[in-house]
Amino acid sequence: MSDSFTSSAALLEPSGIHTLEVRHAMDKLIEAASPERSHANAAYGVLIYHAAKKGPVPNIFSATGRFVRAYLKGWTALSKMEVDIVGIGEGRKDRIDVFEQNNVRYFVKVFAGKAAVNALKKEAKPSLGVYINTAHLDTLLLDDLRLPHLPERFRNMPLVMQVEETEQKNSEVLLGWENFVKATSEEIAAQETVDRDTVEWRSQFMKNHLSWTAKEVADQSTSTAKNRGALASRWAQERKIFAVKYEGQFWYPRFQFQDGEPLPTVGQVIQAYPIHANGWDFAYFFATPNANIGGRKPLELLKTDPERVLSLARAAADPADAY
Amino acid sequence: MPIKCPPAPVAANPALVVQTSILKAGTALTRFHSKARAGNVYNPNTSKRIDIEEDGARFNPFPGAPATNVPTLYAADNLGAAALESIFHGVKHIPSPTFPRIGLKESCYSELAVNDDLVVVELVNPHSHYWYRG
Repeated sequence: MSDSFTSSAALLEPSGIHTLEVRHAMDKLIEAASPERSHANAAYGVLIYHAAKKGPVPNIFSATGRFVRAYLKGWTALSKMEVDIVGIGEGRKDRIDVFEQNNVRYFVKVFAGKAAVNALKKEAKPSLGVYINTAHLDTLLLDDLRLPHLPERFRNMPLVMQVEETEQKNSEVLLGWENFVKATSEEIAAQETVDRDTVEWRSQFMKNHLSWTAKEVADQSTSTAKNRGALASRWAQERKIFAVKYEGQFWYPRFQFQDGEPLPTVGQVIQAYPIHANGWDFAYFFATPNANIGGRKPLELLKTDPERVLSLARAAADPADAY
Repeated sequence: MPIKCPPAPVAANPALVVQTSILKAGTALTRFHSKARAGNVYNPNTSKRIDIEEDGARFNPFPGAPATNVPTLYAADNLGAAALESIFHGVKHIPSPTFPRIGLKESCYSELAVNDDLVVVELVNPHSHYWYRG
């Protein structure tokens, strides 16, 4: 990677983000990493952007995200790095050259110890990626970001790590909040699957079980009331029957009725469930093959064995209490 | 498959050897139960019938003496087993089984600690370990 690929740099400081020319940004970083300097310059790092990418002006959020990802990679590398710390900064060991992780597509170079600053200055061609100055990343700040602290042997010394992002791989080890993001998206995807399955189950139920509208319920009963919807909703309110909401309308499954009247067992089943149970909970109970009755559906026993249906409903409403 | 559980014999059969083990005091157990009940209360099985499967499945109720049924509860030494053997017991072993959420909403789990060393009947055949480990 050479300078010709790089054009601009963003300097991350406690006060914010500043777009600078690459060399200028690197000088600021080196200054901040120098142990002799006062704390006036507390640069956290420099992000070097690709010239070919005509992206938007560096943004504080995207820069922070990139910085955090780079920190995690650098941290991983440092944790695995086998170096004799005593030797750092002495003679030709002023630059701990390169630590590469073979299974991951990134590259971490560490400048550590007394000679780190000089080694950085000699680095004529800063490459693409993120340079992180660890001097100002104190433990409070790292805790705030939920980032791991530097391995102990690398603390209390000038240390700049350069993390080159060559490409993002799916096999990359995820750490910290990245895991959280992954877990969250998996959870959302799982929920979407459940929602899809639920919709599918409901549409199958509607296909397989003849259901009435409120008006049809009134028509089938001997009701002569003028308001043809009132009877069904009154029965539902009294928890004698249930309705399922499907495609914006309430439907009353027909198996609940005999000669236009609610089967009393249906009301008893409804009352065995908690008050917040909805129509689909009852539809599921009645229409799902039940292992306790050899895979038959409770609705098949509604007329022949109402007691058993009620006992099945109680077990279904409180599944944990049977075992 | 109706359960035909014989009533407990009045006197123990001396020829019968029961393998036991001890759950040490302080052992943590996990148990699922209805929110309506405390975590350390037995299952509401006293009036239930042994000939109805949903009233007990494998362990309860079984008739006791002098009580109608022996009080029971299911607890496991880990959350997964406690959940699978109780709240998810009826879930079919097929890909993408259905499960009504209402049952979950009404349940919770508690961690129980064994106060005194507890003698339990060992229903695990030691040879089954070999099968398990393949």
